[in-house]
Amino acid sequence: MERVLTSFAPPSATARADDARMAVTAAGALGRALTEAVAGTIVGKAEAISQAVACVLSGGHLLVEDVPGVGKTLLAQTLAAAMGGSFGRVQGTPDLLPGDVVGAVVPDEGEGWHLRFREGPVFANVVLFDEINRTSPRTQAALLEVAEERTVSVDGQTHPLPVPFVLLATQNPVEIAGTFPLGEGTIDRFAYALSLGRADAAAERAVLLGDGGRDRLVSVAPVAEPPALAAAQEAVRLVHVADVLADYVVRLLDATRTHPRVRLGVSTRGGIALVRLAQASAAMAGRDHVTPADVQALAVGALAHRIVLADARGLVPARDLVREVVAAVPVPRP
Amino acid sequence: MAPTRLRPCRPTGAAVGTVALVLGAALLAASSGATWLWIVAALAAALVTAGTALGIAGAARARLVLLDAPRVAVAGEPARFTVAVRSPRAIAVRLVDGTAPVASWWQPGGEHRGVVVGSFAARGTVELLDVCLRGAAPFGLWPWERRGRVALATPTMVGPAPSAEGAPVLRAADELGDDERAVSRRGEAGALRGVREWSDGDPVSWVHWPSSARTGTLLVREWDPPTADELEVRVERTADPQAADTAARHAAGAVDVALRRAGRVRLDVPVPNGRHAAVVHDRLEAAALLAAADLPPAPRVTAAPATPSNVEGRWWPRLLVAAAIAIGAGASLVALRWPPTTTLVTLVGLPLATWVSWHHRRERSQLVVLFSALAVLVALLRFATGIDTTAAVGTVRDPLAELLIAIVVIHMADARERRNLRFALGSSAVLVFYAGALRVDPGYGLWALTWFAVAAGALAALHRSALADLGTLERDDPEPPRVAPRVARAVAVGVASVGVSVGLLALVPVPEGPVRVLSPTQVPVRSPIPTPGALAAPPGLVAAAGADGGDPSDADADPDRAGQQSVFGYTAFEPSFDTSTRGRPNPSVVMRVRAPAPDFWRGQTFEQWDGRTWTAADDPGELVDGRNTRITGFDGDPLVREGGEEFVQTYFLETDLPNLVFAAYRPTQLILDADVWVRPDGALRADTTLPDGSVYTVVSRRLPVTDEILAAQGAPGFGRFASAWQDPQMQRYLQLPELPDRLAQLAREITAPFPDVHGKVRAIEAWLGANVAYDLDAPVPPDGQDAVDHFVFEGRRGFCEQIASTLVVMLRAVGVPARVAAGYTPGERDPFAGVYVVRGDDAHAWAEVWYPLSGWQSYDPTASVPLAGDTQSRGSLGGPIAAAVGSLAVEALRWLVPAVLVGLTGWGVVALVRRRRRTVASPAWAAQARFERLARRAGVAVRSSDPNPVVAERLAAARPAAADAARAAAGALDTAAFGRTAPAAADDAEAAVATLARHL
Repeated sequence: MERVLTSFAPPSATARADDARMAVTAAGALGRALTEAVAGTIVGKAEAISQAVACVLSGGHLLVEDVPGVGKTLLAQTLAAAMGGSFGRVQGTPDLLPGDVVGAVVPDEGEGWHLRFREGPVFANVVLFDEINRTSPRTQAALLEVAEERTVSVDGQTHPLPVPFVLLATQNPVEIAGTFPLGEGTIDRFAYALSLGRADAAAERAVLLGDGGRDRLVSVAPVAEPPALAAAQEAVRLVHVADVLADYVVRLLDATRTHPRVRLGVSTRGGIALVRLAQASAAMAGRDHVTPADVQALAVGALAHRIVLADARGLVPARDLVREVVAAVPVPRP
Repeated sequence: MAPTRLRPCRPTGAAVGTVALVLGAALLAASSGATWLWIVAALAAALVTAGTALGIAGAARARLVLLDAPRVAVAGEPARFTVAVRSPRAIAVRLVDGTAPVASWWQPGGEHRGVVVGSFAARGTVELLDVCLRGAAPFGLWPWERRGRVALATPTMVGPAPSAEGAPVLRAADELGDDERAVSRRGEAGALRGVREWSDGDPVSWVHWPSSARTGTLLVREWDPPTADELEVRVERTADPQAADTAARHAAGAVDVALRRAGRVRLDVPVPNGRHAAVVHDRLEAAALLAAADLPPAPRVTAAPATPSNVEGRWWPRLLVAAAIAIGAGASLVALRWPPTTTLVTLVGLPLATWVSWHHRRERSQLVVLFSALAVLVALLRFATGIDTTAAVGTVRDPLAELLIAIVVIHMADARERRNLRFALGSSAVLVFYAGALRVDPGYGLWALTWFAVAAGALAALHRSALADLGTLERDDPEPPRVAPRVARAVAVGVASVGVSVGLLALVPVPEGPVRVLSPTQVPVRSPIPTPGALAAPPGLVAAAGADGGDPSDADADPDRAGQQSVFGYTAFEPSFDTSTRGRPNPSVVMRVRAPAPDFWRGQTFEQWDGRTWTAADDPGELVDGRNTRITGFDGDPLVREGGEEFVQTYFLETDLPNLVFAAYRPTQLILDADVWVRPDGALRADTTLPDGSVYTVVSRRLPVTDEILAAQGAPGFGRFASAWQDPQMQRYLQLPELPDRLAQLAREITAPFPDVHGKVRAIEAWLGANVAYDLDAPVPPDGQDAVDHFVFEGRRGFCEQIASTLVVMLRAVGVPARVAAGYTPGERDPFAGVYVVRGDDAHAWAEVWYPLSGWQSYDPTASVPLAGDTQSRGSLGGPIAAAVGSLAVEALRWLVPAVLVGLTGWGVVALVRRRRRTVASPAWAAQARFERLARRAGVAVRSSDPNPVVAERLAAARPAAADAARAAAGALDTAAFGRTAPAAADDAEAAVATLARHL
């Protein structure tokens, strides 16, 4: 597995703003192209798809949680196919070992007793971890370093993951039996938790008649090369974030931490993720600055899964709480 | 879910107290005759009525729907209810289970849906909840409540509160015997923990062969150790409710402990047909099982108040109540002329008491109670024994008022809870009303209205703190309740109440006057008169007259003797007075008389005329001592003994006056703190001069008198009462010196056509009115000539003494008994205090004519005083008050309009400066504000947490024609606010919003 190097030199000081704007526009165009490519397969979920693409563009990892059979795995596969690059897949089973995910040190083929590191399936540009909450917490913990630092440390050696690296995970809601809920540390490393929901009647009918669905998957072609994707992810960070907007995000985070029903609020990592997501969403809308509407649109998905409530479990009550908080915190006005 | 069924409104206990207070105030007002108290009572009644109407409106149309209640709850722990409540006004809601409160909250008017946290009190199954809705009127004075019942869709099982003390737990393993290990009762195997290297002692079955093959070392799968014990908690069946409750609580506590030890717990409870055992995984399952168990119902808890009524954490209500007490005490102290002890007690004690009550607001301090009791004892002792070592000269003694003030101030120290504070407020009301009965000056009105405003504020603050203690509903869509419009509405209600109350006062007749029971009297300083029964001047005025240019030596130098200030305050208040002198006008207020109708306040009568000077009779009368004296016989008392109406007057002196006791004819009772000489000529003289601050009350009897009644009494030698006119006692009042012939001739000519005395008097008055002029600049008659003769034939200009003398002399010349009386005319009526304000200028002399049936009848051609019989219709309170208020308003407008203009200008300048500053800080601020205004005007809701694109979408939905412009405007505003700084962005935003405005 080779490591894809990217060299992305920041624009020169004199033309910084213009270059930034151009880069952002290019990143936005890439995002919209991705959305279009995925929308052909996943029918009727334009909003969810664009949020998923924004998550990818922001450089964060995506968690798709929903009841069985609404197309979580299909979405992740389609997204991987549209993104191009190498693809790795892990299926979560209760007896999965960490070594099965990240790789292990094995004896070298050939003469002599040498050990070499055999890379696991995570060494790819797009990694799909299906049903992540059916594997044991020990295996889930192996993802901690993978998701945050994009490296794997085994047997004293650190191996970097390819760039760009996106982790797409799917899971069933925690109320369903036979699951190992993700720990707070692990789930915090996912930038966005998407919930697809059942399709509306028209979309479901279209899928049943064969227009869309898994059959279309084979016809999805990659939209860009990995270096372009990496460049887009860097460009998204250039989207302008006003000071007042950062204050607004901080107030949102504060409100989640001080709410009486919350036992554990959103961490700074969550705030960073929200800001990057908002930047990506602004870029996809063709703007070079973030507005509060972007933040509000992505707040629920970005924050709800990080919150631990004192009196309830699961994403649904947490989503209600985040909606309440967003409706309560005043938006910055000029 | 069907809405609750509510029974009709009814008033609560607090209402009765308020009604009692208002009635008491009205009673006090009626008995003291002070109009101010009527006004305050009417205002209070109007506000209470407005509050009642609002309260009824609030509670009558309130609806409550219980959307969701917990299926299982633990007694004493928070339980969440989802409710939807709709009411037009603010209401306080209480949910009650039997007698134990479950949840309570208040909410402003409107439709609210949300979650409220409450708790159940006792174990059992709850199927019905009682609802109590209270309309929270602005002052909390008269809340109306409605009660009803709401049925829970699924009954809530309430488990017992876990008992803190331990209870013996039977270990299941104990049943197995000592030689078996407890682990044999283990539950299911533990979970997979992970994979690790093999170590000594691991069983072979644990080895994971695939991983071992892959890595070359033995790897084993490790399992969590099985859970240790299974505990069984068994509740025995019993019939005693107390034991059953204890057992249930112990069981809940044991289950709690066991669950925390992470073991398995099996709960075994009696059910109607046998027993039921189940494994419980959390407290709620245990609570459900215990609630459903077949045990006697838990003993009903007596409803301890769910929310403490301590006024915690808010100092506003306490401060306002203290201010109300201070105003009440101050109003009384002004009337008492600041007695030093009580003033000190108030100034020092009230802040101290307020601080003490604030400091001990959470729990009662025995030390404070002890000190308060001691202080009250001291005050009572002082009142009972009347010892006052620190009384200062010039203060008015009223021990009852001082005791009241002391008790109210001391009580404030012990006012911890809200109802204590309300009681303290009520006692300050008593102070204010008492002061109203004591005081007659117009300044009292200001005190009363200030107290009213402060008391209303205190009531509102107490009420709001009571509501705040209740907690609020967690709304589903949190929108801050808008408070600002309520202020405007409250002000409008207040102004309307004031208007209504003033209008209502138009129906209230002028009160009959002070009731004798309440008649105050005091004489601050006694100065005994040197000669018994004589007239004595007040001590201070003698020196003043000497220094004032009214030097006695000047009198000889000045032949007119004009402008002489008599030491008695008026030339006619001496034993004899010369009609050719006139006093200096003195506009200062001499006294205030509280009476329901005007009348002459007579002080002196004069019997002898010597052509120039009138002299009073010599007989000093008899000295009657005591405070409350009955006045029996005068000369010339009417033959009619019964009948007539009682006319009560209270005199409040405001300067030092001689020892004359003024009274309206005919006085029957005098309440004065001094001994009185009752003279047969009808004058009353006290045995001490009356200084500033004296108060006394006179009860007179007025017979109905009309022109017809007077005319019917005939004349001496004419008519039915001819013999009565010949009464030898009345001959004194026919005394005349040698009259010039032309004067007697004129008198006979004028009165000839009229056979009856009344007609004669009217004829002379008419002649005088036509032929002489009232002039203060009267020529002085030369020495030796009869003054009346000079006045009638030569001077023809004169003032009240000349005119009165002429009338009396002419009447005596035709054989009618008459005399001159001196005193004060009624003076100007102050409708607010209900008093007549008598000034030095009102000192007057007039004529009195005797009638057999009616007694002495006053006549005065110069002053317009109606006959007693013509004042049956006393008029209403409201008329003069409305006129006075109108004049006050006009007066206020004169300085109000420029003040308003200045205020508006200032406000405009400040607004402009603020706008400029905000525009400099963020250029797009004005455009953003305009955008929001346009959206609101189009009917779109704009909340503080809505970003511009969301508002634009709503606007597009409401006005499709402006959809594009709205979206463009939102985008431009966001760019101006959050984009990279571009100076043109603000202008773009303004242009975009202008385009939007055109489209709308």
